[in-house]
Amino acid sequence: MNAAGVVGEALQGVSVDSDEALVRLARQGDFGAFERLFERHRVMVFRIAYRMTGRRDDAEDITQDAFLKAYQNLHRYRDEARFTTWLVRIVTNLATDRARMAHRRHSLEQQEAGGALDWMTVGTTREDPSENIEREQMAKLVRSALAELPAHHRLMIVLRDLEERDYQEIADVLGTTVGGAKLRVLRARRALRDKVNQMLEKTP
Amino acid sequence: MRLGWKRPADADEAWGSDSVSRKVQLGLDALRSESLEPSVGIEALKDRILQDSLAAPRRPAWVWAAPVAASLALAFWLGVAVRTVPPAATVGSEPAAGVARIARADSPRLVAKPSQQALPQPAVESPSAEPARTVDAPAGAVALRIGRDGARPMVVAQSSPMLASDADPKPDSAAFGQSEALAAPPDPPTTTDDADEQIVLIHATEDTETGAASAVELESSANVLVGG
Repeated sequence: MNAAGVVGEALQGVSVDSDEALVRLARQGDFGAFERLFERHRVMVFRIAYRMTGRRDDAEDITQDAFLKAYQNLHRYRDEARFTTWLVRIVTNLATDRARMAHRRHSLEQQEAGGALDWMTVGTTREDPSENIEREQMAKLVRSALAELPAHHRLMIVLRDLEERDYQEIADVLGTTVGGAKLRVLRARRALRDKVNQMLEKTP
Repeated sequence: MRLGWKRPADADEAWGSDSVSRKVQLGLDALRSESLEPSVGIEALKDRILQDSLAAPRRPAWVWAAPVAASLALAFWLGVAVRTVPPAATVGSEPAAGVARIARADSPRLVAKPSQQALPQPAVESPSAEPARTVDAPAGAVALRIGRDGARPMVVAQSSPMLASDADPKPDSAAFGQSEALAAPPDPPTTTDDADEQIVLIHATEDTETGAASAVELESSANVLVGG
């Protein structure tokens, strides 16, 4: 086999294995292609859902819902957008809706519990010199702070700082410009920082 | 002086170097390195897709297209049927529902066919388009068109071979009881001004002993259509 054939096969292999090619096959009724897409992206979808809702069972429901919705709407997917962008848009919409409902529920629970928040049990870093412990404590603190943020701020932190999506993709997911995406991330970070600061100040 | 909020050039500068920002970034790093593995698998998703397709099966296009097509066909057929209904009944046709026969006690031989008063008269585009109507009447009967303000009665048909004129009709000496068909000319185009116009069928007789003439109104209608 000559070099051109090898290159051609390699290119063909890459093309066949791409998300867009699998979507085309799935559209034609090849459920195996959709299975491959599911296996490839299910962890990412679950991560976003979990970080948005903070609950594992909710996140698993959202993951299933997102792939179900993607399967049912494959004919609407346009090739000009990346499949992952389209999928992230689906999961963020579902997760945002679920997170808003959970936020209301959580607020009610807080009122009933007299404001006894679980994050108040988190200690300060000043009392523990161990960096690993501090890291774990900060993770818990930030997670709690994220749960307190409005869903639209939380989504920006999840996409930019946890999933490390670039601004262009965030803009595509949100349907806005890159500048608009940067602005939203900026506001979300300020909100998170202020929330963490409040928590640290309240911690004895 | 420039008012308003100044947009930062790079939003990444939002994470400052202060202690709080550093702690936030530390927490985010820890969260990022978390291992998250969903327990949801493809089999559960397959079941869900199957359940969803069973719960809400996609209906083929004909499910909604068939009633729409039937409605359109019915509407089209009704439109064609209305257009093809003749504007006037033909001689000898069966009476339409709801239209009663008219019989006068003083003219037992005159039995009017069902009139078409109940049927709406379509706007006549040309007088020749309307078919002639036939009336059974005894010999000597005359059909007059009356009703226009200031207009004299006009003979529109007669059952005997007498000349139609604007003058009052002469009574025919034929024996009462004979009847023959009167071919009434079609009405002129109906307008709102002619709403009071009537066709009156009159039978004039002459008493052979006294010589007195009398006229009996046999039929009167705004839209006379009587047949023998």
